[in-house]
Amino acid sequence: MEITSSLSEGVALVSVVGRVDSAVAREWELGLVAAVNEGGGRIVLDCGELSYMSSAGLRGLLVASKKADAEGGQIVVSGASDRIREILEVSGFVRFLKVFDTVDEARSALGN
Amino acid sequence: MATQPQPPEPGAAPSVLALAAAGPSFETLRPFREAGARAGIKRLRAAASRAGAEALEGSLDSPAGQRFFGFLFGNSPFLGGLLMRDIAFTETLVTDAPDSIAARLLDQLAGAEPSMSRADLMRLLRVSRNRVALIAAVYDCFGIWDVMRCARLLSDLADHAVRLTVSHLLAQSVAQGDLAPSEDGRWGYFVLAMGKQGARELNYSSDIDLIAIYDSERVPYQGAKTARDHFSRLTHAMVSILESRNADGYVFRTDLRLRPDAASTPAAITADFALDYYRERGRTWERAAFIKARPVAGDLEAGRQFLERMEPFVWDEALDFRSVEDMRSMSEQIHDFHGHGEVKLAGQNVKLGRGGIREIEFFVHMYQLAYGGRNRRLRSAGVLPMLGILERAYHLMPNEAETLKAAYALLRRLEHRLQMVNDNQTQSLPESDDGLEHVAAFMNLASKEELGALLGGVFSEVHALYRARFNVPERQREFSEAILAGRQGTADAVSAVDAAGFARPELAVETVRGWLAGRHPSTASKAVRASLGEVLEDVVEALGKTPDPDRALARLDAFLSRLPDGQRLFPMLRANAWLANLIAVVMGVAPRMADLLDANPHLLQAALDPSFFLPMPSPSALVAELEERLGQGGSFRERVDRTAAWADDRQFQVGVQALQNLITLDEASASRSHIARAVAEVLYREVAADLRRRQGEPAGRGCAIVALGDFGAEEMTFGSPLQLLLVADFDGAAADGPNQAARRFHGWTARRLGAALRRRTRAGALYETELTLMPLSALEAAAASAADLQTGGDGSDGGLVNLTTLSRAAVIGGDAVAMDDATAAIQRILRAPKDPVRLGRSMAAMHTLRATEAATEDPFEMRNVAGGLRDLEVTARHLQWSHAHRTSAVLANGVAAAFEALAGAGVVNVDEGRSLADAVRLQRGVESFLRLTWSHDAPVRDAPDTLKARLADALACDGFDVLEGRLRDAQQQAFAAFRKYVK
Repeated sequence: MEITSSLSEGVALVSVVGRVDSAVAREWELGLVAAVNEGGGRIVLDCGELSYMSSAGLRGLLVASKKADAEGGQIVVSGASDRIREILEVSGFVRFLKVFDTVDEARSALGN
Repeated sequence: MATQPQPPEPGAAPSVLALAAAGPSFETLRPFREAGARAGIKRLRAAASRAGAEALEGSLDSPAGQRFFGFLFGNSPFLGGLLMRDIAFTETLVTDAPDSIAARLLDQLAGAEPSMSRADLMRLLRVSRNRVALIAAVYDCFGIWDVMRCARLLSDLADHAVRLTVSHLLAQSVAQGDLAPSEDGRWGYFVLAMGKQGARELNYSSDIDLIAIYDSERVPYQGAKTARDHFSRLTHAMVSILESRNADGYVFRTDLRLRPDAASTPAAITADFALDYYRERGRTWERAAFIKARPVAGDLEAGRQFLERMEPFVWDEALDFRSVEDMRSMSEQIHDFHGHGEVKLAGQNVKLGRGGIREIEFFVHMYQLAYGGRNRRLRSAGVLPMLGILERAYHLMPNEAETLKAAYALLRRLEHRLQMVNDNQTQSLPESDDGLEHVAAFMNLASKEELGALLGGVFSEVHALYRARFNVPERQREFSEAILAGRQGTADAVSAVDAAGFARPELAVETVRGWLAGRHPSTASKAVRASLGEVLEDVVEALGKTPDPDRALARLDAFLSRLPDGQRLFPMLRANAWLANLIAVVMGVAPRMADLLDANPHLLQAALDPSFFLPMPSPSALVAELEERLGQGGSFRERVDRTAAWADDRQFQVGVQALQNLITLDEASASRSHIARAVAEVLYREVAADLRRRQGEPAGRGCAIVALGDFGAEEMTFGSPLQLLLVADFDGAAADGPNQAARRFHGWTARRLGAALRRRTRAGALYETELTLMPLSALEAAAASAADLQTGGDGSDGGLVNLTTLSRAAVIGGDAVAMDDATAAIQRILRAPKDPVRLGRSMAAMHTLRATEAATEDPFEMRNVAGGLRDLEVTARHLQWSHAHRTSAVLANGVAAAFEALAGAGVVNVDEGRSLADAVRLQRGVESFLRLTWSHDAPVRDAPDTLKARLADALACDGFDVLEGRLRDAQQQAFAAFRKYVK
């Protein structure tokens, strides 16, 4: 797994590449939380290159989402594959994670 | 000369006045009626002078004192009256610290002698109430305590008042000869505080809600009438003491109407009647009321026992969304009936109106009623602590919890101020501008406009959250109406369903129309169909996203046709529309899990816990969780049922996570074994503890629980049986004495544990269980002659004590000494040097067996194909048994772990060990996935493409063909290893 983040106009764009499983869960969670801090809670999570997410990955996502919410922001997801999208829907994570097709749509949803 | 508030003595706590004056907003506090404030201060000064209250008199000349008392006189005639009523006490506000004043008041009530005269009791209670009312208001208004601490003080006063009154009446009953004396306070009569007093959150001018109950078997009644008459009269006397008004005022308005069937039952009811009533006729609001119930007077122990027996009524194990519906409709009715639906300022009811206190309380109650049966942490009574708990349990996001907490605290403060003005139990803002300006001043706001802006924001935020959770958008109903409508509507419905992705939309519309028309018993009731109508669009959309929507719909239809009633399902779906996705996936992808859901629809409820999709807790955390779920009360049978419900939830969780590829199939197998381990360990403890209580400790070293087979090797798949061996210290042939007692003890334990594990509950059998009891001495004797043991894998009858069985054995629980000794004996057996001739003969027999069995070429027949799981196990065990006498490092229960251990010990090279372990995991993974999803006898190759794609995905293969290729390669390699090592 590779996770990178960049800050632009007060929104942190986090890109994740590869598999998020229990072996990298800690790194994943720390990376997301750091991005939440950096972006003041406003995060676009680009999952275009994310091939797999385990339950440990979902936990990191939940922890980071709660932190973003506490900061007054939110995490929005872009580019998720059908499988990742299904996981977010079946797990009910879509209750607090909005999912968009593209990074631009996701960014617009966060507003300025 | 002006006297400033006196600085406290060194080390002394600051006075109430000093703390108030040090508050951040003290300087902006103002009286609404200046003239009233000035007149009040003048009267107070004169009264202080008359009473010789110098400190009080002096403080009235200071700016702080004038602001302090002026605020109270100028905003509240009631508080002004209290200040004037009791000058000595009023003076303590300028001399004493807040905590010590409150503690003194409560201590005085706690230490009062119940046998005092009725007149003394009446006076003490009223004086105490007046004093508490004054300080609760002062501490709240000046921010010395937060509002909920003040509510706690009011509740403590109510508790003491009721307790002292009841003690007084019981003592009087003894003196009059109606009751026999009770040394230990076990009167059999108790009073429950309900509502806000029960939750220790009493309002400023609230009634108290009490229920008086007695246990007719226990009460020491010896009078000439009946216990029923006596305790009803006693209860009425309690109410009279508390609420009658005299020159000192009153204590509490007291309401007994929360008791069952209040219109036709006496004031005190028997415990048996109450329990029968609630079990048979209890309604949702009564369940909600009992969340907060607390014994406060009389026989407190009997009260606690009663509440314990009430638990099954209050906390339904099955998540109960019908009660959520009830609560929601109750809330709507309140809005409609009282006209509180509109948010405005003038006349707005801060409790019952939209976005008010009641919506926040309902919010909490609904989660408690829905989830509290399964999660004891959600059973706390207080609203603010519960909001924090809901946030930590992932039911609320932090912002939502904070919004609701802040709104609740603000609205409770406002409610208290409204009531403080004249000690009225009101929750409505005034209608007049003047009245609203008054409230603004009392809340330390600049104007009614500022009050309006503040409250408008709060009401809107609370109501938006409430609506988002418990209401549904209008479009769902429109969709259902279109489905039900005539020809024109049908066309609309068909096109909507077509757009959702169904290949045969007309048939799909017909199917769902059947549901709405009540075709199945599960959708027959009007209420159920109403709930269904509100979620139907979500359900159809979710099905449309599955690989084969028409097939998934047919499965769901079959599910609904077998469901006895939909009263739980649809309200649950209504409150959790996303759950439709999960149902759709299970119905569309996993027929075996769908069969499981058909039999146990309640399993869906487990998925509502927000942690359902997160990693499984550790084995020890699972044990702790199960123990917490079991709690303290209930019969053994009820506790087994609770255990089964817990295990079902967790098993379903593992299945769904495996299906969704959220965990590896290896992890799923380990998790199933951990769940089984928790069940076996906890039930064993329950059974043994129960027997120990009745028969005492058995002689000897106790008993070890040994997991065997897939359970011991942590390789359980869906539906794996539980193989257990209890190894206990007893002599199987003992005829009498302590040894015979030990034999009886362990024999009884084994039988009862076996019966518990096999028990068929509403949810089906907990486990298919094979349980054997053997003496520890037999295992140790086998260890002494370990070199002669049979392998057990060659068709020879070595009983349980054979190498194949013990290679997969894990000691998982029991008594410490027996666990250590059983572990040592098993290790000794596995590590004993094996007779090479005997081992060779056994392996040769296996070769012959393999030749007859391995008749299949199908790589998905993983048990029998050459290089399949049996060959791999034989290879691993042979290598372990041949080398274990040199090093224990080769020992591991699971077959994959065994190859890794053998590689680690240098018996096979690292690459070979890894690839053989991978071959095991790949084949076990395929087997595990298929057990979950493929119930057909047909070859896997004939399964739907969608299932094959998921199977490949779960094994991290890029398509089914790739998976098949990998399987063949792995089996080829495994068979080569078998031929190389087993000879």
